[in-house]
Amino acid sequence: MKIELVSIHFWIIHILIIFGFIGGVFYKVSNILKGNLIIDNKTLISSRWSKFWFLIRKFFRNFFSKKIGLILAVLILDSIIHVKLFRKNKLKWLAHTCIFWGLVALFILSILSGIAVEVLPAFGYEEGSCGFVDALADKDFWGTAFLNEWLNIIILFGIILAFIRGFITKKSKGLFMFQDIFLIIFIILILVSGWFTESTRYIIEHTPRYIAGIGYFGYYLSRFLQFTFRQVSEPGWALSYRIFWHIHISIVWMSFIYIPFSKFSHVIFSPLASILNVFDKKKHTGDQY
Amino acid sequence: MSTEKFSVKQILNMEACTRCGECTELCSAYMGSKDLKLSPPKKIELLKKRIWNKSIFGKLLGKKDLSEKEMEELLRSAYSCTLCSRCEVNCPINIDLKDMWISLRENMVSEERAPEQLELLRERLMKAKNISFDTNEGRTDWIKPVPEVPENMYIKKSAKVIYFVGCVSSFSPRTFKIPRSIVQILQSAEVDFGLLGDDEWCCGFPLMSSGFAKDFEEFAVHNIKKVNNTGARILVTACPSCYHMWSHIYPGAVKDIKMNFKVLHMVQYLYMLAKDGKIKLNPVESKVTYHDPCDLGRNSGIYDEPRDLIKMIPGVEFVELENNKEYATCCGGGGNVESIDTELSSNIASIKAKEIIATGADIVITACQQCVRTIATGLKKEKSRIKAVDLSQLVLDSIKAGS
Repeated sequence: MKIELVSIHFWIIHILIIFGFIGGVFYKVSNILKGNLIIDNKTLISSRWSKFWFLIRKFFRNFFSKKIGLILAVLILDSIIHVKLFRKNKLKWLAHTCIFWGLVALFILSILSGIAVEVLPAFGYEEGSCGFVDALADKDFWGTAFLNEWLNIIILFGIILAFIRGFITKKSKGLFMFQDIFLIIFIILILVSGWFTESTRYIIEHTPRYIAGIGYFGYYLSRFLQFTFRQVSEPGWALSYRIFWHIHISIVWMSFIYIPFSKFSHVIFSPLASILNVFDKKKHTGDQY
Repeated sequence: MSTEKFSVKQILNMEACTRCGECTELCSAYMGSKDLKLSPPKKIELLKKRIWNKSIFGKLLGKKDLSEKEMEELLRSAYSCTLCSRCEVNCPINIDLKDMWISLRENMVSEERAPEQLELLRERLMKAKNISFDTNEGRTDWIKPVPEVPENMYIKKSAKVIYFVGCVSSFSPRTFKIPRSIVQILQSAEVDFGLLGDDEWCCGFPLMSSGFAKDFEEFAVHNIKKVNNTGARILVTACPSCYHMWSHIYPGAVKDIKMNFKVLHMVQYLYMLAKDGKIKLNPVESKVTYHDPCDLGRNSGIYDEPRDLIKMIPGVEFVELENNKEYATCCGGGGNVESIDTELSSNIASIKAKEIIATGADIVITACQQCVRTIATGLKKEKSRIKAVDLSQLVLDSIKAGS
């Protein structure tokens, strides 16, 4: 039995969430632009729009100049690989890399799967035309299942590592704030609800072991659930699947809206800050941002 | 809080900070107090909270500003910082934290929350043009015991090199040995040098670092004009903060007047003289270590010249401190912390002293009069007999060892 859950209301909420996310980023950027912007130590730009466009122009002027090399180097070394952190503290780097890259890769995979399942068929795509698209659309395809499973495990490993460093060995001098709890709760709930959704899907779709076994976390959970709740009927598992799926997707949406207001906003702001800071360190004088 | 004292880049940096704590491990104020409230991430969080409370979301939640307790915490942490920049070294995204702390102090000044001591310092500076209680006429009193000083006491209308002495060396008797050594070295190298005398005003660093940003420009303009008038080609100073102001802050702050001379720190100039054979260095049997002053090392990037100069002195055995160059710990004498929180400054100095003692050196060399003062006090507190001297004093000893 195959179940289709995506419907119009999904897309409406999805679009609203994207607007919510953009609104959050807009609010943050607007706050940032409240700061002063002095050019050549003389001219003060007062309006936030003027500051925004000045910075955009400045960015593109630098991007299409000799400075492109430096921009790329900073982006790759400081924002993507985090070389400085790697040299200083390999364990911390590992925790950060697992969480960050795990989430980014999972996000990309989900977006691609969404396109393969929902968007491309709307534009006349027919199953069987492209192996790659079919693989993305099929959650039971070994590659997709393997990636989904392992990325979840990598993220969980990163969280456990960060937790041990921060709260058990107390090696981290990082400042943990109350609002960070929400972020951790969101990530854990996404992972756990994802496994429950997957396991109930395995139950109702009667996925054979040789396929479901790739997503073994979900598979063994499905076996455990089936064993523990033997009295639950087929429609009961179908309902459970719907509930878990909606819980899962709701948490994903909520966390998405929360990103601009959380510690995770550094994904957006840190690369920009890194580039500006490196430019400024090189010259000491001149424009101040 | 008005955000006008913070730049767009600084607020972006606040948003980009993840409170990872790499800075806390190196922060001098944290090391000296073990109080996380003084750490950089805590300051940034309070600043962010203030911005949030003043935003539309804060207003919707009925917030206006930080609570009085949080405000006091922010004020305390703002003025407990030695501005040593050590917190910047390991920052994964290279945040210019020192600049942010100075802007925070500017903010406190604009809200009339700056500590009383600093308001007094400002008044004194604006009136006397130096950080002491004396009038500026006494600026060259330290030179009197130096042998073979001409009648004009080197206050000339023109000179190739201007030696900018700085307030501490000019007015604090504990450091008089430094300018006296420098004058004797310049005499022995037959350098055509001059002093500005009472025309020398404070470089403005205490004003700028306390948050009185606007006031320091008057000092910068005056000093640049006076040095330009002498026709000097080189300006040397033995004070790292003066050097940092002259070389990094003045050019950005005073755009209308060109500086017609090169700015060098004394260690760079002495190294040049030694390399050119203008001063003869004789053996000095000693085991020495070197402390990098924050404004000379981390804030100005001068690490090699002092080390090379020390190694040029025959007989000297040089050992590095455990934390050296960009990782050098602060002596506790920066950021006006000494006048705000004496205990914290003393604790930081003790950490430095213990590190020096661990090297087994007989002498700790530095290139800053303030560091000499603070380290000497720290060593005394730790009951050590290690001598803290400026590099110019060691160079003079080496020159004199031949006579």
